[in-house]
Amino acid sequence: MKKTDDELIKDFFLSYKEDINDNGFSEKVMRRIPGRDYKWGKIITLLSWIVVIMLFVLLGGINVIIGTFCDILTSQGAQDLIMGNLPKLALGILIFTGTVVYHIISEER
Amino acid sequence: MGQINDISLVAQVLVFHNNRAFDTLVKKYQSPIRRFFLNQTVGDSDLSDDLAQETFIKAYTNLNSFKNLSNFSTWLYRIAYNVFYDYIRSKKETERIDSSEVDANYQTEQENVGAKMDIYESIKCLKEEERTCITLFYMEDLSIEKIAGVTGFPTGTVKSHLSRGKEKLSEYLKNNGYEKNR
Repeated sequence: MKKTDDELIKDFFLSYKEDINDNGFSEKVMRRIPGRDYKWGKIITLLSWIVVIMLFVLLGGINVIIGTFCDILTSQGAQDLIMGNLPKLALGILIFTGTVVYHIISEER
Repeated sequence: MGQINDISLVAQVLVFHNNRAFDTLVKKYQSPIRRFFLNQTVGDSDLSDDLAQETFIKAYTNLNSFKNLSNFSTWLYRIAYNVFYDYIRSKKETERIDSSEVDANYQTEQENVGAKMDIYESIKCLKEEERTCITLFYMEDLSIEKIAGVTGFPTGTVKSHLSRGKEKLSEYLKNNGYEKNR
């Protein structure tokens, strides 16, 4: 009895069907996974921030900033400037606050 | 059971960003996906591996679009099918040649790996769509409905590709002495 066409093709494909060994394929795929780079990027960024903040504190950066603000606020020039331009300053603060609020709302949407 | 396991692994990747779970999925499906590409490219192993890698990376980046309406393997085959036809389209666009010439190019490129093997010689006589349907049906044991899901063809079209492909293949096999008595 001769094989039908279907049996002939089925047997033919079956005789050639074999599993392919991984041979490092999955490792190559996992190396190219985008999240992996992203995760390392996040870790490096976090470590960099910690180093920067530590250096800033250790080298007296906070004292410098506080000192500078005190100097500005207590100087006569700054006092005159603030008092002379109070409406403009209020308008500037209002526009700045409005812009920040608008951005927060639009990002949440 | 296998399907439940796949869903659990997908959930682990999506919820806990567990890359080891995805690695398990890659290890599980690398063989059928690479075999699918080997058949489509009539034995070009380097190209097959490149396309298979692209398939798994696309699967990873689009994992949240896996809605569990089909098996994970069917979903993966669909991505593989799209990756292959995107490749064919880009190749056609760059070379501006027709489909039969693309096939001819494959055939000359494959000499080191596939040309000596009867399986790749035999499927060279098939058109791309017939090759896809025939290899998914006979090699990967996918049902006609699943092949329709993978390729996006209506089931009637899958049946006619299978029928034409079977006709050509059986003729090739008979002409090459594969027809034996039981």
